[in-house]
Amino acid sequence: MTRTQAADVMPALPALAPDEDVPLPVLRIALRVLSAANADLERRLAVGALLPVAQRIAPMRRSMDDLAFWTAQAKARRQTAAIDLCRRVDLLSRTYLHTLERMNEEVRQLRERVAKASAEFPPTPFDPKPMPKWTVEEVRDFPKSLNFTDAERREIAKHFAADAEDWD
Amino acid sequence: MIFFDSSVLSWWLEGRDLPKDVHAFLADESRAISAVVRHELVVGFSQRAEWPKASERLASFNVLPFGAREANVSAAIRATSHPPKKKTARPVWHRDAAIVATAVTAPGVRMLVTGDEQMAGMAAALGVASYLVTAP
Repeated sequence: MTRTQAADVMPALPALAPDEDVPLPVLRIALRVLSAANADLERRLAVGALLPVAQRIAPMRRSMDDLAFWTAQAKARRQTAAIDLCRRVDLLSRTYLHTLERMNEEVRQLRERVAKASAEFPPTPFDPKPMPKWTVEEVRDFPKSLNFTDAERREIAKHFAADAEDWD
Repeated sequence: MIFFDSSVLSWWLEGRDLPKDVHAFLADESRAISAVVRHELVVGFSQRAEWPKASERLASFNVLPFGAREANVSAAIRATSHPPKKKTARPVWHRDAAIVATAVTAPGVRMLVTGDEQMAGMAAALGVASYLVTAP
């Protein structure tokens, strides 16, 4: 689900206030799905769909089973508002679940590829040694030792300044 | 080994307020950085007046190498993950993958301390515990 799709579905849900036509369990499920979609999904999408998500899937499936039960109850009692709410929450749950499953698959593929890539080379030798403590002058003079022209040095300085802005 | 990303260390070197936990991690004897992080910090600080002090502080970190294995893992991460949504994060995306690759391949990394949500998520997905620091 993209942020736009989530925004399309969520405002369509009615205010979650007690209503004689909407049983409390349905409201509870709706709240659960909404809070998961708002707080969790948005955050997980923001981190690039890479967090382990397997543990989130089982509770969501249970919510959907509960919702199916209450949809049947609401239909038997002809509770229009409850049926409508169940339908919308069901849509949101399914989209959310689909997103979680896709993300889970991406994490699985990532782990597999990383494990394979890691096995292709032996560990890089690591021999910790004290680091040299460069002075400002030494660092500034370093490009000169490589015989850059003034124009090249200006270009390097410009690149360094832009680079520093990127990660700050 | 506590492994630091450049974001948190740049805040530290600038003297910004950091949570107590982070100071405890910074005092850990096994503190380490990737060679790529050292590259980023030297680029960022070597032209500044605070460089001598920053250089001294950085010298106390183990610098983990970026070799063939790290390059391979970094490429696998890049090939499998999505580019960052934030435009400003895209130019450093390849370096972030290199940093995570070092954390994943180096033996004995207990935790990655970073201010970058995407990096924290990626490391967590690959089994490295992450401590996410909010920008001070």
